[in-house]
Amino acid sequence: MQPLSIMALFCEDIREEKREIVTLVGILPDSVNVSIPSKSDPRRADPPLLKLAMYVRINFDPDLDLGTPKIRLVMPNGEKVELGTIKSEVVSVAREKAKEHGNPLAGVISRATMTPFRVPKGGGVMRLEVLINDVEHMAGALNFLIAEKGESSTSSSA
Amino acid sequence: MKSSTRNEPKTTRDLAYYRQRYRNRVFSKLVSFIAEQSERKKLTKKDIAERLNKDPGQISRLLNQPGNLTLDTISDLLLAFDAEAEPPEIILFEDRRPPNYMHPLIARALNVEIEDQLTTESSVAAEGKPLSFSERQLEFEATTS
Repeated sequence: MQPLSIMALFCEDIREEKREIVTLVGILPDSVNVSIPSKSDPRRADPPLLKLAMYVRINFDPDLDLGTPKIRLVMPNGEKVELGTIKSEVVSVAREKAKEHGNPLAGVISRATMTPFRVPKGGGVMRLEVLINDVEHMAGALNFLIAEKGESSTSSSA
Repeated sequence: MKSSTRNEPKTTRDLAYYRQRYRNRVFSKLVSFIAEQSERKKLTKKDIAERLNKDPGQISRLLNQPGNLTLDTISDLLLAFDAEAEPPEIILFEDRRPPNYMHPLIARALNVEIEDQLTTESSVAAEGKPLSFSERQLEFEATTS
């Protein structure tokens, strides 16, 4: 069994419910089609702005040392955007809780929202990476497929 | 989503989901418009606040969370840019476009044309530079599961 599992979901919003439950609203597929007006259209401009929420869940062996995991986005042009760092206290509490309850895996959840988020010009793959002890782990990726209106439409797949 | 009986009540989850979804859509469109127009007309939050006789902090709060907006504040914010919103488009679930995650082979079998879910967002895009990351509102939180 792998002692470490990292997973990220991209969605429209993250809502807090009662009893430490969260609801993910509008989970995006792996590839998202984005239409922009054609070159001849005077409204032609940059790709749209939207609200982007990211839900990252790290499950790990309680005996594994995670240090202070860093979460970042890597844009299609290579630009790195730091989203935040999970404090070592949070990791320690997760580890202690797992041991206390006899859970085989400890868990840490981090949530990030960007408002507004502009779809990268020209589209491309945006990666969400988690750095654990300076080792990069790709937790998720979102592929923006830009199409001009009037072009044959493409599909996106989850 | 269809009711199996004539007056079957909508679930709390459905009500909450569609409320939030609508808030997000309106918020996204409004923030997009304000960001583009502010950049084009070189306006700051202070300028917008002065036009509405409000505190700049109040403008920031309105634009930080979809939940802070009301119909009145949306109207006020648009008026600050000499603009107004048309009434929202109302659509029956049965008339909705097919979801964009339909597999191409299924779409072909059903003879359905696949369109993307973000088309409506792009219609508000205007000329201008992309926002730098420092101008974005980034919220980050980490907890135990």
